[in-house]
Amino acid sequence: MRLWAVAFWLLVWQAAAQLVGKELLLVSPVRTVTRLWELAGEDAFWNSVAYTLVRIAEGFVLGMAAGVLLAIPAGRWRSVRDLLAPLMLTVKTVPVASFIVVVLIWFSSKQLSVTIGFLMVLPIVYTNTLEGILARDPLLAEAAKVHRVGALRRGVYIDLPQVLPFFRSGCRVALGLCWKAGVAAEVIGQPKGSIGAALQQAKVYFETRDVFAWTLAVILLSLLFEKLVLGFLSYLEKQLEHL
Amino acid sequence: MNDITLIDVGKHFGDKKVLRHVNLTLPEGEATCLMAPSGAGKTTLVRILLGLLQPDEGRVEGLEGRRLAAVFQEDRLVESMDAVSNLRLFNPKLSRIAAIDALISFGLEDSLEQPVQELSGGMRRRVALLRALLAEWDFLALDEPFKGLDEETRYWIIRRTREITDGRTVLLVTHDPEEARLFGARVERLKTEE
Repeated sequence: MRLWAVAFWLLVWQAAAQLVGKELLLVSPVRTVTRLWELAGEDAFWNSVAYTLVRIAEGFVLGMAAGVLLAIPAGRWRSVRDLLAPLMLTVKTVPVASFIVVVLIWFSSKQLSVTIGFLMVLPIVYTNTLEGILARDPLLAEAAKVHRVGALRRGVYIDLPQVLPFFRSGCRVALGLCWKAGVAAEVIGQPKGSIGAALQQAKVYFETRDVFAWTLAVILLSLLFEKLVLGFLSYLEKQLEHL
Repeated sequence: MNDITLIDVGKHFGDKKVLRHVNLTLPEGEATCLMAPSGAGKTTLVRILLGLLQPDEGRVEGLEGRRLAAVFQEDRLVESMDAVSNLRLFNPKLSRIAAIDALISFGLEDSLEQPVQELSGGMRRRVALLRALLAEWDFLALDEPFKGLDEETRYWIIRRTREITDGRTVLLVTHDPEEARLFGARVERLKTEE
């Protein structure tokens, strides 16, 4: 992302806020940042950040692990692929709001963002990983077979580098979605001490500055999380370039 | 080890007969060059020798217990890996130093650390050839291995390959008589008998 483009849209936002002239409707970027700064001085802010971050990360990791673990047998056996297809399609197409309501009926609101994060990540990582597994080069596998390359070596240095770009692009999409849906679920379920509950409270009391500040916090956390995960995957890809 | 012998080998794909009554001997410790026009079934025959296809008729003898290596018509490299790692992947006993020395001897000194996907076609071909030459093998099948090399490079790569494979059992598949001559291999023509 270009810095000048970010600066341009921040200026547009600032100009729009000045034009509207009512903080209740639209808070300027400067006022949003100053409010976030104020919130960052409070323990409660960091507790909420930790609460949501841990749960969304948990949901992401579980969804990612399940997606990969299911994609491996699905890539190997057509019947597993066929069996999982309706399940993945259902998870992908059922509205998030329906899942949120069902999770609230079945579990406590504490489990909400973990479960929703998991459900958002699972079909995306599964689909992309499966696509990567199916797109592996059969000729390369054949060459490895002729030269008696061991199964572990083949998996790590031949299969993994071919699947990783697909997995990586799935993770990129899933990361953003996981944060969006996870926080939305918290706003509805309002688990105590979460970012979603803080957002909902700010809305109830017409604290538009807080709504904007918390939203900015979510964006920053999401970007940081994405950088960490994708950075780790890039590191892994680099490691696999050399033997 | 015994010679490798194809006895009355036949292969068809659906209604199309690709190989018919092929009889061929690859003497132990010698290089044999198999020549035939395009579409005559050379690659199918190589695949049978490598155990990737089973003949529909006849049999192959002398392959039992042999470690195989091959250069295929395609390079079949791990694209994201560098040249050194591609060589070591197919031979875990090959040291990094030995792989680097071999690549330098094939004129690839400037491309040791680059992912092979960034190399030119000719450079990739040399990596693919070296990978097979440096693998542990008792029988090496080379299916159009010098394809894509420019004239000058091709000449000394053939000579270098000949030096490395001297006294070992090799099958060179080509349709170029000049390559067969430079490689110093006994020439066999793929014959099909009704």
